[in-house]
Amino acid sequence: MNELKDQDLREALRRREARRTKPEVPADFCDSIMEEIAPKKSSRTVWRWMAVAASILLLIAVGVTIAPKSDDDTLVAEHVKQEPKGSPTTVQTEKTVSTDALNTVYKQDEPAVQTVRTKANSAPKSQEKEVERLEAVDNHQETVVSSQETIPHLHYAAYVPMEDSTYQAPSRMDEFIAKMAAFNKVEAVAMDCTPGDSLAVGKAYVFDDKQELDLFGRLLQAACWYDSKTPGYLLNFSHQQFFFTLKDLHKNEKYLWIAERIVGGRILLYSSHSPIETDISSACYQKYREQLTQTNFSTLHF
Amino acid sequence: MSEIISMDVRTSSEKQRIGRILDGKREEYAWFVNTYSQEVLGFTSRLVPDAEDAREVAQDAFVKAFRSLASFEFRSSFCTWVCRIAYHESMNRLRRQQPHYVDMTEIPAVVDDEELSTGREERIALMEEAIDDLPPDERTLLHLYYYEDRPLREIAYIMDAEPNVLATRLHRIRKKLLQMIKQKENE
Repeated sequence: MNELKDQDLREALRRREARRTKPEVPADFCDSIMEEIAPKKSSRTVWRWMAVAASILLLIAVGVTIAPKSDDDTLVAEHVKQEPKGSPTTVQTEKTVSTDALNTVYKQDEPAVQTVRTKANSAPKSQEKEVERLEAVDNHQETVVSSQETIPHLHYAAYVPMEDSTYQAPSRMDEFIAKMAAFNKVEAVAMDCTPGDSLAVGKAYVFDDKQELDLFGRLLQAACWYDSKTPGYLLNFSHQQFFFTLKDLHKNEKYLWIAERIVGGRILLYSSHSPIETDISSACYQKYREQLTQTNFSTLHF
Repeated sequence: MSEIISMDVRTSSEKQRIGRILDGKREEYAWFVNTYSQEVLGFTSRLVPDAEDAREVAQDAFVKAFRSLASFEFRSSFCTWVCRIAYHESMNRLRRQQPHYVDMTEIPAVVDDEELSTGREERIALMEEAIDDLPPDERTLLHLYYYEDRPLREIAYIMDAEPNVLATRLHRIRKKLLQMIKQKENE
């Protein structure tokens, strides 16, 4: 008990407290407190995220505003001139190509050049006319380049290379194999699996199965150049065999590569390409394979 | 201020629960409210005469305590801490409603301690009336010291004052009470 006695005071307080009706805690007392705590936290979080999103949008906006101001000579400038009122309104597109060391072709030139090239290839009879048109385009381009400095307003367009970057010619695989064979001094053996069809080409290579060459690994790496959505894509490999097919719809050709570990520490690599509609028989490959596995390797003449 | 109130078993249990709340277990909030709501509400209802106001003050005190739970230094039990917050909330509310208090310096120093405790029944009844007439903070101080027998250091923590200042205030309140009782006896 505290040191101050004051008995009358203590008694008065005790009686007063006994007289007093104690307050009852309302049923929703706890719920009200929990509600007070919960929503304010979440709203704070929402505001925080909104602030982050706003900052990101602001940065993007600033980036977009500043980016076109850079002096990049490789961009294409497009200037649209409007004819004066009164005459029929025509829009003239002027093309300017900057001097790029890589001679990159830009999007602005794409429609005109492609049209000219396609027609020149497919219609030999009208070749002269098309050549004239091509020259006219070139002349026009030169005129525009000379007047580039006088254009007051430049509108920058996005750089788009003319070539389809997603397209990988399947023939690159053959080129790679040929280079690898040349480096390892392996000669190709011509395989005629479709007698009478001069467009079908088949070749066989016999590599030494050396760890430093790692032919299977290199072939797999080369296969990775191609997207799995490439037409005719089929890749199958194991420690013993590598099998890969592709189609080139640009050239209407199909490609097949088979590599197989055979006796004598060797790898037989068969490569073929032919028109898509041509039926290729594997009989010649099988025959050559049997010939290799049953015959002394050193007696074969490549 | 160093640790002013010794930690008991309840306080260490509270420490664990608060740790769990800070780790994200929100269900522990309810335990604190259910355990201490009666005590805190009783405290605020002595300070704030209106029952609805007292309830709001108690709820506000819990909410403020939970929001600043990370800064709680365990210098007292959780309940004492909430009472401290509730005391300040109550006084702020009362100041807004009733800005003027009796200036205690004007109370004449006329009595000694012996005269306050006579044991007479009529004196105790008059004392009850006199206590009712005291300002809320003085009534609270008397209640915490004489009825709840809380140590002066703990009362000082709740009322945010130095213990020696509170001791002086207690002395003045007793003199004031005697003065008020004498006035009532003469009426």
